[in-house]
Amino acid sequence: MTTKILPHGFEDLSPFAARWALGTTAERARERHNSSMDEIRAFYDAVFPKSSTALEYLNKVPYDGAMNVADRNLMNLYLSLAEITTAVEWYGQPAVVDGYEPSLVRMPVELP
Amino acid sequence: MQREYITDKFPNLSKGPVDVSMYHDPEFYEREKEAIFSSSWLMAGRVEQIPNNGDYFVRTVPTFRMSLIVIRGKDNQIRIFQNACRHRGNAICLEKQGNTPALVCKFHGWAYDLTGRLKAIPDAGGMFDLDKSSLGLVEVRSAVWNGFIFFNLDEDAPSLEQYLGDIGPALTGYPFDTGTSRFQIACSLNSNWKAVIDSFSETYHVPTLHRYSIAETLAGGNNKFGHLVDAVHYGYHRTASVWGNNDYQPKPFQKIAYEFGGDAGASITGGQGDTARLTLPRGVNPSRSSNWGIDVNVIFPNLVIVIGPGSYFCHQMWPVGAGKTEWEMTGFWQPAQTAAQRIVQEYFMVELRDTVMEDLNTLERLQCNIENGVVKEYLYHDHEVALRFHHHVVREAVERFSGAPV
Ligand code: FES
Ligand SMILES: [Fe+2]
Repeated sequence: MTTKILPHGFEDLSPFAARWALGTTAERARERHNSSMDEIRAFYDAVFPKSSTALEYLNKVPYDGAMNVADRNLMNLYLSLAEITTAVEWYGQPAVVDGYEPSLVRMPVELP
Repeated sequence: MQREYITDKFPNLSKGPVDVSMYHDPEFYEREKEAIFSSSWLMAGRVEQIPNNGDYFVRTVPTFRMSLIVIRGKDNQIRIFQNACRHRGNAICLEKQGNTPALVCKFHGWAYDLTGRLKAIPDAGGMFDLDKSSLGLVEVRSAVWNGFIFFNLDEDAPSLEQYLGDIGPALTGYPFDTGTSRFQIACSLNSNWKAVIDSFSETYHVPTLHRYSIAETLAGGNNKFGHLVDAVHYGYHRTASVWGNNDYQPKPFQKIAYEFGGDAGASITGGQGDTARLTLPRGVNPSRSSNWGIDVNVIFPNLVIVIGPGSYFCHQMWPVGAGKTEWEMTGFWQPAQTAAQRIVQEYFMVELRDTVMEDLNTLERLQCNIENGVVKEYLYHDHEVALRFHHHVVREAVERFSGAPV
């Protein structure tokens, strides 16, 4: 896996960035459902404690085409945290408990 | 003390068991298509999807296997055409959306302007006795309400304004137009279209089915069964006003999401954005409850607009058979200004999607047990009144159309 650079102060998260800094909702959802709960928990435990710091930093970054690569990687990493949080905080397993089959769910329009 | 029933607000509704045949009978489905879908106003999309002259999107209508072009002309008018070339019926627009100066068929090159007029035929001399003026794209009736673009396949149906009746003005004023950041999720469900609407219209299931997700936000405290705060019926349209838990304790990431969401981050679980500061129209939180969570508005027959204090989303259910439905959910948010707000939006999108995955999973099991004949009637709870009403108005619409009891 290629390394993905992160902004100064977030370098310690880079072991997770290679796998989880993903650019689309579809990719992030696929990664969630292709991971074991141990892998998801390891990611959550590493990244969640820095959420406040990261979102504070990213709240000063305008969301537009001019974002630099490191900021974008950090955002994508936390977009993946947003994807897997319900697995950890709600369900205790990767998929929705007694939920509809994830592979049958289409996402024709992703958030811009 | 005698319990007060919300169902008592509607004396024309029975309290008895309800027959399930209209949820699986193929013959009844054909009648619904004729009596309801062929002459109702159906929602195609939003005006914000086509802000500029020449912008278009394609709306597929699975129920009739139709594809419609929704386009803003050079005169700024929005029109809807059948996506079908008058030469031999090829679809004109092949992309889901775009911008175009003209509508040109990529089969043999017939070209139409944005008002649908046929302008050019390659090697026209080889066609026989054509009257170009009568060969425009087939226009479908359209009208706009609060930025929602509707179409109607029936030339003689009453206007959209008349069709909506009082729910039209009642919801006018909600800032639908600010939600320009969209997402859409879709599934092909083995379920009757009405059952899909019903699953989003009652709160009796919230404490049980949603025990991992939103049970504590829409039920709990002194309302552990998630009783509605109100139900309002407007002709065939209706609003179920759902209780919200003001004392909800957010989960760890929710806390962060509420903090950083700003106006762009707003959810059904409590992030409120700036619309919470607005004066809501009389149809939103109709009883002005201080414990208001969300409203589930059903615009008959198949549009559900779920309105919260800070955002809204729509469900549309397109029947393709008595036991098959194409379902779409579209969420509308204010654009993220910062990278942090974008993350919050993603989180609330995931919350909503995962919650709905809990709802959808019940549907195929329900459908199976009515199609196999094991379950013959439904026993509706007082707070499933929206479902009783739904059953009632669909039957009435079909009877009115055929002029006889069904
Ligand atoms: S079908 Fe369109 S030009 Fe022939
Ligand atoms: Fe539900």
